[in-house]
This record gives sequence, structure tokens and C-alpha cells, in this order.
Amino acid sequence: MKLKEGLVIRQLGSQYIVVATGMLTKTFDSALRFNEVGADIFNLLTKDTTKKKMIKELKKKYNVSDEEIEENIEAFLNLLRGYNLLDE
Amino acid sequence: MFVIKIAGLNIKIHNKYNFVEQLCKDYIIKEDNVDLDISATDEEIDIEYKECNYEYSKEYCESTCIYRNICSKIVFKNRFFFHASVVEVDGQSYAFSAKSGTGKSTHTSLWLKKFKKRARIINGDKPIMEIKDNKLIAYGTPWCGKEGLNINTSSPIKAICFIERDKKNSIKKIEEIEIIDRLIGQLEFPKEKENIEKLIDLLDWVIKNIPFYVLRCNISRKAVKVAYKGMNAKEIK
Repeated sequence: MKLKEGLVIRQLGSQYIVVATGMLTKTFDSALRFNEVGADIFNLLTKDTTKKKMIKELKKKYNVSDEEIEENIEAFLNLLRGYNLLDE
Repeated sequence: MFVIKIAGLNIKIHNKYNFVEQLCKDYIIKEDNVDLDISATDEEIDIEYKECNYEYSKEYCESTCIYRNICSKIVFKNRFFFHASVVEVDGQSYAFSAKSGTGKSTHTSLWLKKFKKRARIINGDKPIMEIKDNKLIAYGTPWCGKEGLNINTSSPIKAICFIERDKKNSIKKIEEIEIIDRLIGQLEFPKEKENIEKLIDLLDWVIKNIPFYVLRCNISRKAVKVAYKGMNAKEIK
């Protein structure tokens, strides 16, 4: 799975904002706010990846259980699916 | 074509229809040196025309597209568009932002009634903001909402306030996450990566340097008193 092409992420204060560019604005014309965890998941999804790979990467940074990481990832993926921003 | 001076910039407008020149008449200058050249393509106008369900004329749509294109480019000049009604009292301005129909224009018109000659509307709906000399400056522009309230001038912003309708009047200062969530709902982001990134960088300065509030209010002069007092209260340390 991977993010659709054309998304920009930029830090704003302690948070991160995601906005569409170009043709993607036809289907997504608002903005999303993420915290640092969300930004990390977002950045992992810029390349084709799997949930298993993402859990492995995030465990290097966050000292929490696999289940908690998986929950965060799944919630994030569902958010992206809701806005049709994921290619699976 | 014609040249306007808005938000301190000389902008040459390459227009197809006459409407936008009429709209901008109070801002037209005779000047060869320009900071920006702006136009709207036939495709942009057609898209806008379709998106408004053909309710507005193509010449009106051209003016909307032109302002959108201005607002996209000015981010590189430390300026950005913000959907708000800006009222100035005693030389300092307050930007009221809200979803369309909430009543920000109604509220700022009550400020004029309360403060009389001390108050004026800088821009009723679509100001340009500039970060300059460590201040946030609001500008009057020809694009200012259906009441046409604008003054060809600038004014420093003291605070930004989101309005929500409520039976009782109250105001509270808000912090980063709430500010960002409310802000991003009131912005029209450019479509180009570099422009988006620059806009967000400007907003980063704004959220760190300008106080933000949420005003819950009814339509009354008491609401004005609550808002003004709330945004002028000295912070208790």
C-alpha cells in the first residue's frame, strides 16, 4: 500500500499538515492535521509498504507494544481510506 | 489590462472581461513597475463557472479566479489570504473568522455601532494579511464580500477570533491544536507544492505570535463588549 501521488506534508507548530496538490485537489480539497506519530506513518507510506514493515520501523522510534502501534496504523489507514488517499 | 496596488504590491491584471476592472477601481494606479502579473485562463474561468452552478456570470468568475491566483502567488511575498471580517478600533484590528452564514459580518457591523468613529471595517470578508516587521497587517482589497466593505488601507492585527453562534456570550483564548484545526478550515490552499509549503510557514509564524480566541455569541451589542474585553484583557501571570 502507498499514498496517492500529490500530497504535501509540512510542519505547523508541533503538528503536521497534509494538503493535496495539482489533480489530487479535485478529490481532496481540504487539509489534514497529524501529530508526530501520524507524520511518521505518513512518511512511511510515501513508498510502497506493508503494515508489518511499518510496525517494524515505528518500533525503532516508539517504545510501545506492537498492538498499540498496529492500532495507530490502522486508525491512520482508515482515515486515509475515508478521504480516498490510499492506493492498496 | 490595468495595474492595482493592493497589500503593498503593484499587480498587473490581464483581464478578458471588464467587471474586474470596475471592481478594482479604487485600487488602480498608473505604474510600469509591477511585482506580479496575474490573469485567469479560459479553463479556470470555465471551471469556476461550472462550480458555481452557472449562478454567476463568467466575468464575475474571472474576478474570483484572478483573486485566487493573486492569493496563490503572494505567499512568496510574505502575504496570504485569510477568510475573515476585519474591524479596526483605535488603530488596532480584530479578524473575525467563521463558516459562511455564521454572522461574522453582522458581528463586525455591531462593532461599528458600538465604537462609532473609533471603528472601521478594513475588509469585510477577504483580506490579505502580511507578516511585516514582526507584525501581522491586514489590508483592504477590492474583494471584500457582498456588502462591499473595504478601505484601501492597512491595519495591524491584535487578535484573531473564531465566531460561533450561541445563546450566551463568552470568549476564551485557544491554543495550538485548536487554532490549527480551526485555521485550516478557513483557508484556501494553493495547488502548488512550493506555494503550500510557504503558506504553512507563514501560518507557523502567525500561530506563534498572534493570540487566537473563540467567541460564542448572539447578535447583540453585549457580544461586542464580551469580545472586545476578552481580547484586551491583560494576561494574569
